[in-house]
Amino acid sequence: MWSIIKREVISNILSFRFGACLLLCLVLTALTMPVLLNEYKENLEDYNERIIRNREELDNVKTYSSLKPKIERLPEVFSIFNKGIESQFSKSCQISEGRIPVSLPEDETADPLNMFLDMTGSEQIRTDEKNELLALFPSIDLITIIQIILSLLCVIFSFDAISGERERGTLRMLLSNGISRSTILIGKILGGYFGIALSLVLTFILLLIFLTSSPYIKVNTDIVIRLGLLFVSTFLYLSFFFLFGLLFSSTFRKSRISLLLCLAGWIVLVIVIPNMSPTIAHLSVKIPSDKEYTMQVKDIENIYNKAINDFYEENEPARYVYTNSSQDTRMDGQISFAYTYPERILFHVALVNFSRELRGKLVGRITAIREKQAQRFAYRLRVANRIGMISPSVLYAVATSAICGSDLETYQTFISAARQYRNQVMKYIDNHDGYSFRYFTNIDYSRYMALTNEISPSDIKTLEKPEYSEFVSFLRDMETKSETLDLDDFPRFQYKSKPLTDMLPGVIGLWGILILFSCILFVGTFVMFIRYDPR
Amino acid sequence: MVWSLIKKDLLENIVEFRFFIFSALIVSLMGFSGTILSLQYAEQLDEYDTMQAENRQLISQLSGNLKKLAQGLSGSETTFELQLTQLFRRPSKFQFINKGRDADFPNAVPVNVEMLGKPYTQSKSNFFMPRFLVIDWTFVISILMSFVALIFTYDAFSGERENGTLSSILSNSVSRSSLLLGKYIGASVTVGIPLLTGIVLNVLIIILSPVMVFSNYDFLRIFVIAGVSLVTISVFICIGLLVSSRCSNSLTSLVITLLIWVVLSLFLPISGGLLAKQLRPVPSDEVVEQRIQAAGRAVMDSFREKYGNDVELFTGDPERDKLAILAQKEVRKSQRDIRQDYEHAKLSQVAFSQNVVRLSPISVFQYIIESITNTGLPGYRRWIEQAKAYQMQFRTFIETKDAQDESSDHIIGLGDSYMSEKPVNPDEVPVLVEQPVRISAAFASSLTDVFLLFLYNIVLFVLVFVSFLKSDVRSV
Repeated sequence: MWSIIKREVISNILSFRFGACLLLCLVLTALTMPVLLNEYKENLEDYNERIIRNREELDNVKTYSSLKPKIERLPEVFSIFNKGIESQFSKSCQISEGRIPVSLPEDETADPLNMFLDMTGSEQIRTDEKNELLALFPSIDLITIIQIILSLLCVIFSFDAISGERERGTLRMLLSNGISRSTILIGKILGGYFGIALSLVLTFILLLIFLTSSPYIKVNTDIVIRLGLLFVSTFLYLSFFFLFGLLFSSTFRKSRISLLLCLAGWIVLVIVIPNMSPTIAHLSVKIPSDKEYTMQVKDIENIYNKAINDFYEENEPARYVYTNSSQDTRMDGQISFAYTYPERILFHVALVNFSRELRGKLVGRITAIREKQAQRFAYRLRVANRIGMISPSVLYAVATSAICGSDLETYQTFISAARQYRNQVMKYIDNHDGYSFRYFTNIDYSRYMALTNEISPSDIKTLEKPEYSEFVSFLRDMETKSETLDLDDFPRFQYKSKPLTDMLPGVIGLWGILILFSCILFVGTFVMFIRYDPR
Repeated sequence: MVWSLIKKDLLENIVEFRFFIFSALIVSLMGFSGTILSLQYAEQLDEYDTMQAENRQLISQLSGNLKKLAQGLSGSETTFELQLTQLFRRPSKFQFINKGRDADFPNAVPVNVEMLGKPYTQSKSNFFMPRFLVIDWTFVISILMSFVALIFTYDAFSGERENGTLSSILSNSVSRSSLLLGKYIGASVTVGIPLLTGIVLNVLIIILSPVMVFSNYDFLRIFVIAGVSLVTISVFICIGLLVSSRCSNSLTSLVITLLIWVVLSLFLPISGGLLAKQLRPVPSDEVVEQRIQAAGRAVMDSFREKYGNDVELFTGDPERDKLAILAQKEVRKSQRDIRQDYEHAKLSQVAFSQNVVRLSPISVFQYIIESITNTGLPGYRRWIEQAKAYQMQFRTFIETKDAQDESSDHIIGLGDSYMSEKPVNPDEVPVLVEQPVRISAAFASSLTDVFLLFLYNIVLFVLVFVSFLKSDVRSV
């Protein structure tokens, strides 16, 4: 038995086919890895720049109302291998009280339940600069190459395993020497598996070399384990196609027929089904248009805005303006108190508390609506994947995207981490008594109140009297020497990517299905080969 | 002689399994694609009609005030709902032919008196769907049929050589050229039948759809495209025959033809993109965003230098605000210029990569389709040109109406501007009517690529001829 296997293995490895395919494998890897690593490097640099910019913005924050940190999603290392749908996930998420993060690729800077009614910023035409023409360039990742090209190569290997032997006349000789059919078959299979494993080992070693030589990637146990999982997934996938070719080979007498049918099957499994299942899912899972959800959300926003408006109308005190400026609210969320009367501060504090309560109630409702939308999209994706799972190509794609962190679950992990962070931020603001006058100003409140109490109402319109010079200089200092918030103990966002153990059960389940398919193929091959006429 | 050779090949092919299987595959795919794409087209047309109706409603609403109409946006203070007047691109009725390369292009753009906004994609309904190839004609013909053509011909000569029948045939008084011609025509017919059947089935299904309206010229386009498909398939048949004539072993010729297919269908388009990114780099979106902000700041700074801080003050007095308004206009113009440069750079990158990729007959076929059906990149560019022309038309309209109002200060623009606020008749507002491409223009623009395809065909056929003439017919 072992000598048969040895013979198979050696003849496989020494064949022209194997050499050409191995070469192709290694060349493809060597050509695509630098490009993919470069893309990753750019993403990482982009990420770092955004982090720096966010930190600078935080350093300039003066009031708690503008304490809206932006958090960034760390690019996954393994998106090099499988892009999945990772490019659709938002890269940043703005944390604010008016918005709970939802796993939708939405505009991350929207802040609907804003307390201040003035529209700061007058850019009326959208400034979303995402490159719309990007889709013209097909993006490759290694997994796609393996999915398509390597599976084709495996089929090429095995389509004439049995029928070729018959055509060459060697099958007869083997059988007439008392070698059992099962031995021959197992020999072929193990020989093929060995060839696949050998090529994969060499390819993955090459991958590892590329990874370690990149200064941007730290190869730790997590990466090695993921590579191992990818190796197993790829081996299972490719061995399926080897068995696929073997089945046809042991059914048909002529290698040509076996090849053609194999290729037809390959086209259906690798090209047609993975591209048809999303189309079918699209048609069968109806998702209400974005407009409908947006309108529901806008309704709630209108409730909020109307309530704020009403509050203004009921409680806003008469305004005294010291200068000609009509601006009450500055862009950084501060109210300019130089231009108002002290009662206005009290009004604003009441407004802060009123809006906080109201916002708490309404933001939950808005989130529920957006969650429903997100769930529909997630459901549609699941349907597309489930329908496609009759094809090992889709099984492979789903498994690898889970391993590589480019699937929806990874994004959802990020979003729930963002929500927890939001809670931390809100607690922080609460602990520092941020929902008071500190929400919209950082002046020395008590001193201001003391000073303005000394001003007689008739003098409010002009402060030219010498006894008000202290007040005037206080105001001037406030304008120029505005201090930023002390954020030493502000919680920072720690990004924790999904632990491996979470996705392991799913991946192993998919492996199970692949193995099941392979077993079915094996049984089929066995049955067909038993009846095979070697002449 | 040639005729009997053709007959022989045809019978051989047709009787074999492979013909049925692949025919079934192709025809059912085309049928499936026709059904799905016509359904999707109906949906998209619905959406388009809705968006157009809403836009017209918005225009009627805004027509009560010329200034608001000019600025093209409506929003109230309590609802914060910003609505912009926009132009939408009508979904192409030729989507069943080429949707895959069309769907990713923007199909809506905001418009106002001063400029076109940034084009964007109206319905983002593809959230969280994995990238998938759309099964349209382009896919079936350029990717699948080319594969099938190679599979039918890879063993044309090498198979016969192996079986020993090649020497048998040629030892009779059958000339090599007639054998070659026989093989070629036999293969063309064998592959052409499923293709044409698929096309006819597809067109029938499409015609059945109530929303599809085809003119005679449209049928002409379809006919021409069917013809071009046959030429493309012929290129691949030649490739298969060429490799087959040089290899003594079927297996070797198979591996080589498959490799060639992978290179032409996958490798070249990808490396075209990569090459273009290297040789015609385009700054990243973040960089462009920063440049836009910086440009705005620079313009404001220069104005502030010259005229002092008054440039930011809007006092409500048109004379005094002229400067401030001018400053804002200059800011927007400089930002617009940067955006346009960016768009130009992106498009030139794409054009460059397309030129590189023209090495692959698959891509040449795709470009021909895009030119004839006015989809893909040429279709998009044409629509943008029409949008720009419309914007000028709109501007002229606003200026004319404004000039008729004697009480207006005639300072027209976005943001704070002092112009007529009189109402206009909404029916007088110009409407963008998309001009379909004239058939002569469509064909003219595809001429280079068609010529290229024919060139490939001729060169390859000559190569096959020469190669087969000199090849060794023995099976050893």
